[in-house]
Amino acid sequence: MNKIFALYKNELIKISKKNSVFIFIVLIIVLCFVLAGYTKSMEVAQSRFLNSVDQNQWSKDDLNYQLEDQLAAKEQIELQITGTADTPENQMELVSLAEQQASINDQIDMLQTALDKEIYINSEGSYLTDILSGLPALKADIRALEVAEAQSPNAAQENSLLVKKQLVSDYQAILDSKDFKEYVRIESDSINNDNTLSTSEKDIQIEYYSLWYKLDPNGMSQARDAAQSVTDMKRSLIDEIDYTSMSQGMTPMTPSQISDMENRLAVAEYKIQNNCLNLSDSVGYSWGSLDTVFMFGIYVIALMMLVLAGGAMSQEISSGSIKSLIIAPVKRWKIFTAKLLSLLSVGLLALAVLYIFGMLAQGLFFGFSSIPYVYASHGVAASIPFGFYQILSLLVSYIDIIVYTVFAFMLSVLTRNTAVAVGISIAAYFGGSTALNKMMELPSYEWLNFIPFASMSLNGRVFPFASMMLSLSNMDSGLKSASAFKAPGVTFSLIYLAVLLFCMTYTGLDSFNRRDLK
Amino acid sequence: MRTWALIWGDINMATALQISNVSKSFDRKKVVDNISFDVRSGEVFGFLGPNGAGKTTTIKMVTGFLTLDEGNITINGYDRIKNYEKAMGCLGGIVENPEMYKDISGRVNLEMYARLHEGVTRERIEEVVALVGMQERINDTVKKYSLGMKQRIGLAQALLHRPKILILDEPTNGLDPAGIRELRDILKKLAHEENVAVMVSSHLLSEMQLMCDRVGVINKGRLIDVKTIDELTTLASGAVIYRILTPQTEKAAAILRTVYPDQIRAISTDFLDIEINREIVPAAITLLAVSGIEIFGAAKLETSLEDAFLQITGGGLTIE
Repeated sequence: MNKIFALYKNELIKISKKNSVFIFIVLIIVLCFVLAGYTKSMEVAQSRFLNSVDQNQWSKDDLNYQLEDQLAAKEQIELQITGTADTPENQMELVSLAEQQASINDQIDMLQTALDKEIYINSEGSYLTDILSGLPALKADIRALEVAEAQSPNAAQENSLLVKKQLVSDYQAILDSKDFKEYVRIESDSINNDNTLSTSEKDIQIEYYSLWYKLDPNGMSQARDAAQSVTDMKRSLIDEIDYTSMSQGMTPMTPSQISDMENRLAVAEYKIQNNCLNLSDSVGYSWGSLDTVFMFGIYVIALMMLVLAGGAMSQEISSGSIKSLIIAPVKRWKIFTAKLLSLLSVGLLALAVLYIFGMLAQGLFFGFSSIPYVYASHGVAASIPFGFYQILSLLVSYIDIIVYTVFAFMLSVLTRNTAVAVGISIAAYFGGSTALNKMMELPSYEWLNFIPFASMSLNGRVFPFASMMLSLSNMDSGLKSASAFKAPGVTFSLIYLAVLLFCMTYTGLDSFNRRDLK
Repeated sequence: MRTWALIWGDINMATALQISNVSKSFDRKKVVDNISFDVRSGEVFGFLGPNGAGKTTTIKMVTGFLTLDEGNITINGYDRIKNYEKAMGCLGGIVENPEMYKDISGRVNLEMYARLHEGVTRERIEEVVALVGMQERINDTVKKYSLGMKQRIGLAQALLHRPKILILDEPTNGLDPAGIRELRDILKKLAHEENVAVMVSSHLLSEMQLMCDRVGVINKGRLIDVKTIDELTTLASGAVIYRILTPQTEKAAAILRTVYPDQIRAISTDFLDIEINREIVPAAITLLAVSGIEIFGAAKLETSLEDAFLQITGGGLTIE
């Protein structure tokens, strides 16, 4: 053990004297600040652009433009109506034209109201824009009911007509008062009074409005989307049909999908309860900057490790410096082990540099983030603080680097040729992620699991809720068709990689132990 | 000095390095063929042979670079394979050129090597640095060293852990004459005063002659002989070659043949070489003089190791 430690210490001294390591570490640090600064400049440019245009004026112009359109359409319709003779055979057409006229009037009404009350439909949405854009449809319903009522009156129709008319006037009152609380109350009431809905559906819908209010008492649309996602998940769980992703269609969910959904819901609810839901754009930039920094940082670290590992043994052999190691009273496996350990610890050191400077750069440009990583299993949610989650996530990314480092090291021992070892391992590293993506397009063959690439890039599998850190509705699970190849689970992958690492280490060690150093 | 080693050799010189029946092939070509010899504590053992004879291959098998196809090697009583670390702990050496980490200073190189041995103190490092005379340049990076300086640092590294056996492959490479002399003194001192077994390989035979107590001669993978320097220089019979300068070589040869048949070694136009024992020289010269041969001079031909070596390896002569 002492010998291994002594060798390990020597290896660290040797690596520390290498210019390439120094250059890579500097590159990582520079990268952290450059990428974070770049993202910051994007954010600044975006907000400068938004500020340079008067949003309200722009919306107003847009509304006016639409209004002109509608007014023109109205004239057209009026001309058509006056041009059509009021004969029995033209009755159907006249009715349809009248309906078109009424709906255009509603549109004009809506646009006019929007202009008057300064509710800008096309800018960031809120409950007010919801009401406004819903009004024409509601009015059309009322007209249809009135026609039906005139032909064959009945109590249910009359009641529904009354309710809808009440709703219109309530809505109009809210457009004046701009009272979101009142809107929530009215919606809840109307859901309660709607006898066509089941009790559970009523609960879900009422909860939706109260959640919306809870998330944002101003009733803006981001909160609505979040509330909508939660509601969708709840509804999916009740019906056991996935409503959260578009492509899944209306197929029933499998038990594993159900438990997935339960966990996602638990995560969403945990975030709402603990107020760690982020509804602003700047979080996205801050997040994106760190994401980019870490992604590129990992690439640089991988490159550095492959360059170091690919030359670790072959360079010593070709330069002859291995001689002083061989003649020393240490067994060859100890030399091998110490070299491998020193390589991996240099990688960890680089990872620490990346973490510290990445977080620092994000903190300097965007302020230190505190969004926790929330995860759930068996429907019970818990959270990991932001900084700690980032450490774990980097360590999981490091698993791939370990595998490729050992691969490069093995090649270095086997071929005793630095160029071959570095070249092949870099090709494998950058080809690997592409290969995995290609594999995802294949049908789900069992043997695909045993291709090494399938067990790599574990981040998404170890932290499946990472995509929910920014927004609740941004789920990525539903995008792939159910029959396509799905990467194996974390446990399988870890066992597979452990076996793979063992085999590569053993091959390298055996070769190093037996082969002559001529 | 040689006599010293010889006298004490049989009494208290333990075998430090034992090589028995070692063979090695590369690509089915036998490079080392069934070699056996011992190196004893307190002697400088020269390992001699022309280029490609198998010297470095043998040394690399001892130092752990190459595996053995056959045979075994014992270092200070430890088997080189079964008891690897203990065996190698008794061994110091330079194989081919001294190689060190070029971006690191000589001192750190030594420190790194010291770490792999037990009981090498900081003072010991200073001591060996002083011994090889590198105090002034020890903190420079190795890439700034000349070949001679690298040799010195290599020697310092090999001596760092006070090895029982010191193996040096072509140690005088790159050293200036003063350096060679210094190295010679160091090695002799180590062997004769500190009882280290020193094994030196070289093709600089004159150098070996001044340095070694015994030599093993290797050619084409086979060990031809192990002899003391004296044994080698005095040929097998113990006879010495004398050169007699005379213009009448043919006549002189004829006369000598009558008394000493088969002992004329060479006949030229103005000299002839005869191999006879020292005691007989006056009688032989008298015989010639009496026969009326004009003798301009007679002298013992100093048989150098080089001659012996060429005779042994080139002439295919085996001396048993």
